[in-house]
Amino acid sequence: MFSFLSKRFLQALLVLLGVSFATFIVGHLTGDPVELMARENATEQDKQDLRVYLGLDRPLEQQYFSFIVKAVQGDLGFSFVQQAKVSQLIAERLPATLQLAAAGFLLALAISIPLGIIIALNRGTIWDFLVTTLAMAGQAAPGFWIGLMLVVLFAVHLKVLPVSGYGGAAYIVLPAITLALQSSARLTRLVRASMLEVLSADYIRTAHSKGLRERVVLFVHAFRGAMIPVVTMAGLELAELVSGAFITETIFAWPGIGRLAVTAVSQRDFPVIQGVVLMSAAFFVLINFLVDVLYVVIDPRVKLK
Amino acid sequence: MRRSATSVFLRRNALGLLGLTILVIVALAAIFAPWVAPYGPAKIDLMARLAPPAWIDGGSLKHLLGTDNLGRDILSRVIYGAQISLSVGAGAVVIGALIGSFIGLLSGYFGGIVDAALSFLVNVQLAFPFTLLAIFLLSTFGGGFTSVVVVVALATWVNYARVVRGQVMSVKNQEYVEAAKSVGVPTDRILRRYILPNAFSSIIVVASFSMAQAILTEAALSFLGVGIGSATPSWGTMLNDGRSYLQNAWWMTAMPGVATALTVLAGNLCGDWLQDRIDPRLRK
Amino acid sequence: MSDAVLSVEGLSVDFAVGGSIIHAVRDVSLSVAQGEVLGLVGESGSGKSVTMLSVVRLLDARRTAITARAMSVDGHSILDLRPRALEDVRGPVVSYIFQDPLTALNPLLTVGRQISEGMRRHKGLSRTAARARALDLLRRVGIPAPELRINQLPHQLSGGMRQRVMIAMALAVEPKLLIADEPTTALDVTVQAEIVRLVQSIQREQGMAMVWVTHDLALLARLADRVVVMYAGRIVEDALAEALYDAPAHPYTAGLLASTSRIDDPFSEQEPIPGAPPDPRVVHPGCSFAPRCSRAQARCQGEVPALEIKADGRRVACFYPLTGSQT
Repeated sequence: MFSFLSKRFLQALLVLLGVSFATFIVGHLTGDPVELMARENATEQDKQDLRVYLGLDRPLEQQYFSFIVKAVQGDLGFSFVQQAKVSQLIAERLPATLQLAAAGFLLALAISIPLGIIIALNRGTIWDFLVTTLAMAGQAAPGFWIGLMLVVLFAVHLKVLPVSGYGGAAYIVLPAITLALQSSARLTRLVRASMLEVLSADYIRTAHSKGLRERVVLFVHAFRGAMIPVVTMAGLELAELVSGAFITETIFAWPGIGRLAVTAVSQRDFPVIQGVVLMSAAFFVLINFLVDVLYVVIDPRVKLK
Repeated sequence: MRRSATSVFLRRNALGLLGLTILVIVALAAIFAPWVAPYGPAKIDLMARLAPPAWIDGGSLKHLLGTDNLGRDILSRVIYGAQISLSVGAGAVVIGALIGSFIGLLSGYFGGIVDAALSFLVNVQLAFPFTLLAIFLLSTFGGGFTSVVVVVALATWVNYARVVRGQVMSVKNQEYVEAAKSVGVPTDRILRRYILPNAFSSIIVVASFSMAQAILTEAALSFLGVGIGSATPSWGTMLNDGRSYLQNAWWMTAMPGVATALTVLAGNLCGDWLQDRIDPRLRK
Repeated sequence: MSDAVLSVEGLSVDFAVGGSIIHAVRDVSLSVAQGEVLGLVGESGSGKSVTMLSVVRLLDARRTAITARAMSVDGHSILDLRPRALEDVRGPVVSYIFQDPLTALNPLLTVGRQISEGMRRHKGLSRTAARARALDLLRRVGIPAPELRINQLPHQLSGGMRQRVMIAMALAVEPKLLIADEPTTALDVTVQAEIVRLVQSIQREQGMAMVWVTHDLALLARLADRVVVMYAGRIVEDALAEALYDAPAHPYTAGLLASTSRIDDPFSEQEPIPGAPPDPRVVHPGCSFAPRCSRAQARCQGEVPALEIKADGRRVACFYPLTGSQT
């Protein structure tokens, strides 16, 4: 078990290193930051001085090395556009994003797991058909578009929820639903399929042959097995939610790192973009690692591999 | 007898056929847009600005789905928009399939260090926040049709790589491949003639899902304002236009969204159908 | 037969598969007396497993229709039972040993847990009491180091050990009827004999009624008191084991015997039955075996032979049974 997880951990670190390298290279290919930073009337000498000051005159591998060393220490560079440390900008915005992602994720799980199980148990009925159709439609519609339609309905026409912004509990409702809908659609279908597969397994028949109560068969014997693929998928969905937050935060003026990044792109604020990319990648890698850990917990067979 | 066989066929394939029918209708509308659409996509009619759809008070049959803030006919723009959305989807599918299949093929066939390196590449790509990467690339290198297609293809190649890799690994040690190797068939020919054909059906399945994913991605990027900015609208561009008029002209946002959802749904239905028909092993 | 543990009359089972209906079991009547060992034999698809699974309704109720004139286990009329009451019968009255212990055991639960849960449910044992008894059972079915094994998962055990666990599980609630559905088919040849001997010795000790479901007629020679032969969903012959092996009456039984190597003469020539079993979706107007039968006459093609009781208590469904002993 230990060797499995430590191997996964090393892989995660490697991937993170790969992402940082790619980001670094892209940053250097897409323009000279000095040109963007320097005042318009700066001379060549001024620019050269700035380069030396920023360490941009050193060989690439040295620059990358010091970038990594600093990043590990939590120093993600300095945003000249916003005149603030990148790490500080991110730290300010992160809570809002985490709040939204957590709300969206919990909502998605709260919808999909019970719903998926219920329609699996009632397969072939009109309810199964309705929910499955709805889930397919939900998967097909762009998530942000559903969000906009929810705004029209609940904020513009019914006026029961605010259009956008950040504040009390009412503000999180629409963005969280928007974020959760597509995940819910995908997860519901997965839970249903996974549950159906497990329910047709031989060992479920064995459990029935022992005369166990229906709910014991369902929750002790079937549920755990059915959740194994769901855990993996849910991990990916959580990562997707953070990524999907870029659009949702833009629509709802939610002050998280997604909006920070979108603004940074339009302002060519590269240190911020780089910081956010690294943050999201680290988050993605971390979630995948946690999924692996969870896997070991719910599927004891993994321990032996 | 014949009739019952037909009805059984229809019942089993109903959803897939529905998807295919929608896709064909959308494709035909896109191709014949100039004949099908009642107006040009950019024809401005300032007298009829923000007219609601025909079935709502104040709407008229002149503009079935209403007009936008410049008085352009939304139905016409949705029809012309299909051109962009479908061609981005198709372009991305071709590029994504080529790159992804190639990488999956090498990865699966050679295994070992090649596989490790290519899998690493896949993992790095997956760890990148895609939306951010896409808007960054597009705003840096500029939008336009080609860039959008390439960027959208970037989002889908991984799907092909994984599936092809799995298929290749499952056939590469089969006896007929060993036999070909033992008589000295060159490696590139083995890959092309003996290995790749096994993955074709899976590639087609992935392609139909990826088509849907590509259309969604294009809509999202255009919505964020980094897509194809041109006179011909894409559905994403229309969604972006509509955003400022949510309060008083919801149809500007609703119509292109419905078009997107229908087309994507059709693509997914076809994907599910093909999967069941030709490659149920991919189900998981 | 008042002492019958299992009594089935006119059982039919239909499956709905992709728009067509399969008549898996047709008009089957049989009974198993207290302490009796019944062998139920037939090719795969003959309906033997389906018959035994319908005894406590373990088939997917959504896709199967079970009908019978009467079906009772230990006095319980199975088809009339509500789900709760059915749960009480499953286990203490009828227990199963399934074919493939790898898929039939839950891969995520420990061996101990899977043995104990039936006892806790039906005997109301506490967790510790059930565990203690599970240890006894593991010892009894010949698993070495049961203290270690009880906390392990099925895939940590060998195939033979898994099947021993399965047996321990079935015995845990002391069933009145034990149904073993091809319990050795999925195992290595070397452990098959051990498992057969184990089940046999346990049956003799406890004196419970038992049904062996198998395709191996030779195996039953040593085990069964009585043998029921099924073909294409119907019973074709039902006779005391000795009588059946001495002189099979139905041509199919004779064919089966000729195609299996005999224990007393392993080098005797084996003759496979020509042809293949019929498509279960097609309803045949005559005897299902007629197309493969060398004795078939015109009558066999158009009319289904009824299962008739002969003078010696044997039941045979054939218009032209083999009489006397075979050469």
